[in-house]
Amino acid sequence: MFKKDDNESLSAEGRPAQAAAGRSPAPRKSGGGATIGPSIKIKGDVSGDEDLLIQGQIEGKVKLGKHNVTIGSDGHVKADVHGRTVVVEGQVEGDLHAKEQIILRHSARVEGSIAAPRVTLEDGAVFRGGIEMDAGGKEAKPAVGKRPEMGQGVGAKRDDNPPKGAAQDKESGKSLPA
Amino acid sequence: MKLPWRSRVETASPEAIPPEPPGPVVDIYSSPGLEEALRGKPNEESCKVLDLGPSVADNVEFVSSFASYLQIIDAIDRNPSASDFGGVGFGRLSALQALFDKHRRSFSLVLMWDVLNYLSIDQAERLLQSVAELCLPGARLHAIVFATNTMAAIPNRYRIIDNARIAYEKATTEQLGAPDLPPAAVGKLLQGFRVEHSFVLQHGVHEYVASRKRWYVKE
Repeated sequence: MFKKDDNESLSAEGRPAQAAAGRSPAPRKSGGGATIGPSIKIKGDVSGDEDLLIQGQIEGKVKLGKHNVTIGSDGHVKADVHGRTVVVEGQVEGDLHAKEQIILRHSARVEGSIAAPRVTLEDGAVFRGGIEMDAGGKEAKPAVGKRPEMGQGVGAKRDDNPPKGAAQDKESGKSLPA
Repeated sequence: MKLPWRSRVETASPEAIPPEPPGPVVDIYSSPGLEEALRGKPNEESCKVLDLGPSVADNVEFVSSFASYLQIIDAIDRNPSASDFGGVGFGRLSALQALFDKHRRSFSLVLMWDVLNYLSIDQAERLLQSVAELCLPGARLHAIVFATNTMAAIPNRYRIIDNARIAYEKATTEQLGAPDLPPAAVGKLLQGFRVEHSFVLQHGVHEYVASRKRWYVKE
């Protein structure tokens, strides 16, 4: 006879490793949040009271205003997304609203509008749409920026600290090493 | 034949690691046009920026320092078959026209870098007609136009370094024939705008700074 533990390897947090990796075929609790697996398609509204990782497809609305929403690299969302923080690694066609922060990872493909007090775009992220920069009101001037590390995407070769000659050569437009 | 373990470890020395594929060539140029376009920009409470280029993290960060809203159009479609112009050329006209209801006459700065080079005259006219509709009277438009016989087969990415310098990221060394766009032709294309400044730069680029006419009637 097999013990259950023999069949199901557990992650460090004591949950099934498959669920921890986000490959669960159905919504399931995974370390304080739920995961919509890559084979799941949802048409309609999604709401709840916990963090959510989306690796599947959603058409409708995602309303988790008090919680974190992550659209994973396999996720494809045609919906407006509301969350406390919204992180995009996959594809979104819709508007993103966050009470705290929106992060578009380098693999993100987003078409829609963004409204959050803080917006971070990684190099390589493809975004088409509008960025509302006073979503937090005048007192909370939004911080819009990029991740400090530039290790991925086209920007990987950008010269953040151009050689001293760059400023001197700007009139001649001399090429700098990438 | 299997290598002994020691030898296999040796082959993993740093010399054996293949070099990374070459990245884009990055050139940094001065941009008197951008400097001029940003001079006297509206305050952040009212400044809305229309960027016809692709999303670039540095540009978003730069614009966020003075604007309240940024619209990124990415007008040069890398996939012509998906364009709004019937697959003939490039462009995403519907993305601009979708803004009419909410943002008509609201943008005060337009960044139009490299766009005209990749559009036909007809496409450019339609695009600029929409842009003019979206701009406030007096809005500034900064255009970068290649004045050389050839241009990159894939449009460059432009990255703002500061208010007077732009980095050109060239994804390819392949060249295409460039359309002939003398200043008079560009001035005509920029319908609804009046060219106030133009700068010819040594690397074959012509920068224009134009201002949205107070009265503009679509032709």
